[in-house]
Amino acid sequence: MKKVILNLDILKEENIIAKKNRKYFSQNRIFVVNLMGSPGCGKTTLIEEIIKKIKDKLKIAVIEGDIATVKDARRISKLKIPVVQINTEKVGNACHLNAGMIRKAIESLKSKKIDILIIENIGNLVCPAEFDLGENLRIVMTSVTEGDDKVAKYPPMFANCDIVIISKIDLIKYSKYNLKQVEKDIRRINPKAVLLKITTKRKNTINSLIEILMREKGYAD
Amino acid sequence: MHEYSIAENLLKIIEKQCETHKIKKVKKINLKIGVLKAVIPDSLEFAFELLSKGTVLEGAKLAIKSIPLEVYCPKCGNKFNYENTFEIELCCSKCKNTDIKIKSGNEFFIDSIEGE
Repeated sequence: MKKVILNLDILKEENIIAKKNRKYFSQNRIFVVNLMGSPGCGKTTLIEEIIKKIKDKLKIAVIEGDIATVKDARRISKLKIPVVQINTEKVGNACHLNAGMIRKAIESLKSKKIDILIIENIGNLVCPAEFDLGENLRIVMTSVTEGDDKVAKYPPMFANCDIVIISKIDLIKYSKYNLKQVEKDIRRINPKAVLLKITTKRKNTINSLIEILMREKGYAD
Repeated sequence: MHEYSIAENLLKIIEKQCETHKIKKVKKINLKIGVLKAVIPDSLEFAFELLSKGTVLEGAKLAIKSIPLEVYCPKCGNKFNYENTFEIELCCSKCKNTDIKIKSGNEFFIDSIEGE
């Protein structure tokens, strides 16, 4: 019996591909957003609203990640922007996207000029946290209808992002959702994250997010 | 469920290492995984068992060492551990500074393999 000391990172290969993606994005001046959150928290709806607000100023493309169906890609393509659907049912029903899947997806976007690429990750508050896709900005979304304990229950996801979005904020008045407690949990787990509260019922609630995206692309208000 | 992808990566790396180090049968794999990685040992073992069938890794034991979350405050020099990540409060336990550095807890390493 022999023992070999390796000291190797388990996700080394994943991280090498993520690094290559990041290099490609920076060389082509593409700003990349990794949008994560629970199923049904409103990720696709938020993307639709972002597209409507900025598609006249910036060129947007979207990568949609789901286990099955092209439902989300169909919704996005109605807005006449390039979209690629990734279905993970072909790769063991994976519960997250990884850098290799993104590398393949960008192949079919290579002929397009893109300023902002939004990647909608698989709806899940656990697994996507571990996988770097090569993005510039990580957003985690949770909605009022999921209950006010999600940030406390899934700390790794919320600890590892730049922006936390609480969606469907208009529904607070119909529920027992304790916004103060959620805000406290976010501050405790990720004191540096920007916290945004949105609802599609009041379209101006996503303006701060639009400002952040525009600023990243060098657009002054 | 991300344990499946982790097991896939694990297999890929170790199969390569076995060729380099001329190991025909892996008996034990020593892993170091930080608590922030939220890996469930049972799920990882299950995925590993499934994927390793018919490879040099079949039947190998996974020894997972959990690394606690250890934090350092550059402002006051305070060093402290978290036992439970569910109660994590990412600020200094003494001076409440929020700009703290994570010393350990993010590890994701294959420490060593044993075999013949």
